[in-house]
Amino acid sequence: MNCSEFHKQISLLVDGELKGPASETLRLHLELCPDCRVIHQRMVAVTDNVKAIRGPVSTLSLAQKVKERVALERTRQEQKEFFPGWTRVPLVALVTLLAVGLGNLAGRSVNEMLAPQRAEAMLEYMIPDQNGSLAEVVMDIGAEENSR
Amino acid sequence: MRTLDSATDEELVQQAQEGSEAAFNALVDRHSALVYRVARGITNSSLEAEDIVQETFLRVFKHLDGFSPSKAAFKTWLLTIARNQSINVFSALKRKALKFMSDFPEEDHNPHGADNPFSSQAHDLETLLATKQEYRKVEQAIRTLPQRQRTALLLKSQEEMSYEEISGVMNTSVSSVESLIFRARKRLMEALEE
Repeated sequence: MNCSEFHKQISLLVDGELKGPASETLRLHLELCPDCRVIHQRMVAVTDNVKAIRGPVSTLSLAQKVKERVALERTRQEQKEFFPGWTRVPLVALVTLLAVGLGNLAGRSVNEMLAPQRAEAMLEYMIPDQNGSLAEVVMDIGAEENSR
Repeated sequence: MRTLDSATDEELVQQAQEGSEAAFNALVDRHSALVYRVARGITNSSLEAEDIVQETFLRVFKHLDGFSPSKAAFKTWLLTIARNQSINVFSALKRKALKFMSDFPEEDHNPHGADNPFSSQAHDLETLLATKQEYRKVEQAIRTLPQRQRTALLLKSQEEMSYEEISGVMNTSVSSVESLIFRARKRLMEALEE
């Protein structure tokens, strides 16, 4: 094995990743080879320098921000679990059925229900009565929503 | 029952999976500095690193149920997510051609802190300045390293992870990690000699 091949092993040795006979072979080589000894010293120095610039990092406020954001996400998830999208379907259906039922019970058009008799003529002029019951109007609105 | 401080990561994860907010917060307290350092090391940007820490833990929270200690250590899983986030951000920064070299505020580091071996040498102003210069030189040299070499070297030298752990985080083989770290060291040695 030549010196350049030992250099990679020196890197492993510095990191404590060289084990067994390879480690012993390298140690013997380092005793005999001044060039490789220099490389070893320089690698150790570089590693120490990289460690040195690690420095203390204060992440207290950052950790707090993270916790707040995660708490928000947790709340969002809990709300989603408590009231998932599919539960809204029967609710909407119930409201629609109620509206249809009421409209049928009334048996009158929207204009008849909403406008007093005296204003009926004026309203007829402004909004021509389609003679649709409340149920029909609600169904139309539903169909419009669906198509949208 | 063990306190949160003395519990292992995996125990905390298990409690968090069962819905414990305190356990998850303990994981955040324990690892946010680590994620921040790795993110800053990859992106060379303190601001981006802060965002990455938040995004990483948010992802961890969302996918916590999918984590299994039998597959990987929590730290490895966490750093894999952080690294992927950082690479995405780093690529975006590169695309925008931002001068990331200038985005490395000095106040993030404390060269005179207790953890800094240089501090013992700083007896007078001259030594202090020389130390600071040396410190900057190393930082700049690290920034010039290719992203993968830089990540591997920082995970080894600063976070003291094993090659196997690093290979897990970087989704590569142990021999690749060996090469990356060796090449990173060689480049640093050359850069610091200039």
